Amino acid sequence: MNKAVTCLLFIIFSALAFGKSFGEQRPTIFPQNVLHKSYKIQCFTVDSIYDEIFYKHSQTPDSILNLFENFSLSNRDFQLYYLFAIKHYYLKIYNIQADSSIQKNISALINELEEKQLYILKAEAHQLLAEYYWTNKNYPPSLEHYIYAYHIYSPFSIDEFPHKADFLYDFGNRYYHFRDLETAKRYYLEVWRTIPSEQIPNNVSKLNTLALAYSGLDIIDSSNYYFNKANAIAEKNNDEVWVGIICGNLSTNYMKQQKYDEAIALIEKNITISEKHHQMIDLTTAYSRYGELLLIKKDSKKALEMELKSLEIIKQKNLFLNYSLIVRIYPNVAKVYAANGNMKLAYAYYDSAYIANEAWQKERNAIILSGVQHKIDVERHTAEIQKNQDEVKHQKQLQYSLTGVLAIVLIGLGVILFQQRKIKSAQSKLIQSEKMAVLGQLSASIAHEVNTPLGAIKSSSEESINSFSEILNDLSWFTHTVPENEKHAFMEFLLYSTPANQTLSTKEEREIKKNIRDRFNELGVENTRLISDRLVHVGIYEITPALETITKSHYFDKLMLLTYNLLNQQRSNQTILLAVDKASRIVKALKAYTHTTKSDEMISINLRDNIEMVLTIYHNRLKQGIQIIKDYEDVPNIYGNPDKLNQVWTNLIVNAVQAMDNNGILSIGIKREGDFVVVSIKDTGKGIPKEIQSKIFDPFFTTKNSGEGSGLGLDIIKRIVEDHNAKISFHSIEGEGTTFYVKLSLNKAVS
Amino acid sequence: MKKILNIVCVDDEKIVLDSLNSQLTRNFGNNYNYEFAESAEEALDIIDDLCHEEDEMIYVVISDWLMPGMKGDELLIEVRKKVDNVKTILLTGHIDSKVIQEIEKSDKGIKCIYKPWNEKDLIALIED
Repeated sequence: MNKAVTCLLFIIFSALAFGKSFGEQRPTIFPQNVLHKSYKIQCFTVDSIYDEIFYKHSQTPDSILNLFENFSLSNRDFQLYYLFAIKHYYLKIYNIQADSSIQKNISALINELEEKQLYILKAEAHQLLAEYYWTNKNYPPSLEHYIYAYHIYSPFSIDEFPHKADFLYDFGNRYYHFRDLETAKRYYLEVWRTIPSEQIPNNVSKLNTLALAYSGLDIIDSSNYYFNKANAIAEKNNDEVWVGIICGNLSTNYMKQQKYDEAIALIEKNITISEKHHQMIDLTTAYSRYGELLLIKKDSKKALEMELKSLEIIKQKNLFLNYSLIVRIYPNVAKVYAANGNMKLAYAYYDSAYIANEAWQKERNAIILSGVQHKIDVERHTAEIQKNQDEVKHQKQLQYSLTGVLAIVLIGLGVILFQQRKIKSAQSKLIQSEKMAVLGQLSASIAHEVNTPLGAIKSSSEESINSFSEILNDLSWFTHTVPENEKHAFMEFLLYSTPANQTLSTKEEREIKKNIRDRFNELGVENTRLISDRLVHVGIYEITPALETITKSHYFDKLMLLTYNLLNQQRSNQTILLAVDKASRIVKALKAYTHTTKSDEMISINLRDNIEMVLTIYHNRLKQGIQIIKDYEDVPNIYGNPDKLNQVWTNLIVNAVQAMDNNGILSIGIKREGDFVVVSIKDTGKGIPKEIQSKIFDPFFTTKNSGEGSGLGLDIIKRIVEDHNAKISFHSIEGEGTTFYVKLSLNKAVS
Repeated sequence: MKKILNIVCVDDEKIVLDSLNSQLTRNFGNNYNYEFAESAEEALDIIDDLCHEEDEMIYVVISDWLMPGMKGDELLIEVRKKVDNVKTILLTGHIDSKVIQEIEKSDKGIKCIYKPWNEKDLIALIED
């Protein structure tokens, strides 16, 4: 047993003995005249005596309580007695395993204090109970008791209630915990508005907390103001550890404001101090943030160094389950690895960050949920108070307000539950859905793509049937009525006319029609518009001598119709074949596009076909205002996963089209460069602003309005490209356009 | 002098124009002259040429909706400005498109027919 403590205990014991045996006579060695001092002085005295005995000596709280119980009761000073009792319970809650009986005891204590009209003490007892519930993670009753305490405390000044600042901060911290920063901030500010700052204990830490709340609310200017204030005090007090912490926090704000140089200066100071004082957890975040800043400054090597230092501490201190820390650090690590070209590790860290984020969200949502539960209780509680106060008058109103509050709370609960679900499913499906989402947007134009050939097939076969029935009708007329020589000329004309196979443009057709019409006119045939139309339609582009002979026939018109009907059989079927080809090309492209291989199988791919397939699917979207220039060199096949590469082209092409607002020139090139093939996709769009060029491959980075793009497009394609042992790069000039390059290896060895 | 009535068809898909050609000539034969264009711009050129001929009259313009450059509805509105009493028909594969539904509802005088279309419906729409 420590000598000093033994001594002190001895003093107290003798004082107690003295007090007991001499009745009215007060102990002299026991803190001087403590019984006559104000509540405030009693508090401090109790605190210091208790701490002295408890911390310097392993005396159990119970035995200390007994000591004071005897002393206080014998002196009939209940205030002092209860102060000791409360202090005693605090220690029990925070230093040793408290059993559930403590809850009963404190409740009894609250009732006693009510009877004795010791209100501040009653509030303290409420606070005590609140803290007991809090340590047991039973948040709703905890907050309820905090609120009881708050309502009792609030009329008292700092002189009457010395723990006021601490209490208000504790109270605010509870809301901070539920991420209700607005309410937390309100209670923090109450401290600074109602208490002179020199009377606020630990004001550096309190200012820091307030500034953090402002920062969380994105009120950066106020946040900076309070950080600077805290910093000034800490520097005045030579409190280096706090200076370091505040520098770190300030740098986060500067980063949000994109004042990177200031942020770097602060974070460097933060690191120097934290290294000196071995503030390990602070150091992990500081290193990581430094890495993030260095990456912005393009010093990816040093950035990696910093992130590795951060990881080292996590490993050393086994902080893997500290999700909020992991969620902050891992994405930075991943980014830095990516910047250094180590994509495998980068994705490993991204994945871990996703998982940690999921766990973290779950934890946070659970906390926020209990916050909502607490709000129900509070509303019920305040409603009860009001009801008691003014029952008759407000009864009706209250019911309404209660219903309203409950409705709001229920909605809140619903929203949170929904979000919780949403977050989870969104995270797991985001990546897979990217491709389908793009496709979904296209479904309308795909329908059009298929409907066009279907329409052509339908009308061509109807046409074929009609032609055929007319032929049947004309058959007997032809065999019986047409003179032999004309029959002969007609047969010759049909046999030796070689209907053209190629399709002409409407302009060329008009030209040919006009030529035929002119020739007919020369031959003295009139009203030949329809006849020349029909001849050209079935592929007869010139007037052969055999046809010239027929023009002299009495049956010319009818023979021309027969020609048309006969050749139209061929013509219609050609159209059908063309349409079927077109439709099946679309379906094939669609199937290949949506198809996902089970394995990441790498096969030999013809790049030209792979890219053309995307263009087929997007034909409709592209044709509206996009001119496509293809510059394909003949290159050997490459090894890769066709589906995934397809996704790369799709993304780059869609991005290009969007960048050009559907109007411009899209140039697609395939070029061989030694052992590599470079695919380039160039647009004449608005270009990528310099400031964001370094971020475009970051996951979740998007310039589109929220909801329009997942921001995963380029991240995913970068992954795919890396999987192919290839490189993606781009060159962009604002106002002129952007070119993306994908450099694929011709080497079969693909990772 | 009897005027020649023209039916102008516009679609960037040649196979659609070929189908229209067969259907129209079969049903109307010599009653009309038929012109075909692969883009709205080409169609406007043809229509301008026809407008300059005294004996030509534009009776119907049938146009696809989604084409490179000018879209079908824009073309048909343009045509209605140039030519009085012209029938305008939009032939489209975009059944569920809101744009098309709005065009149909509006009083711009544009009638819509959907791909794959029925020959009888198209003919009825022209004769109507």
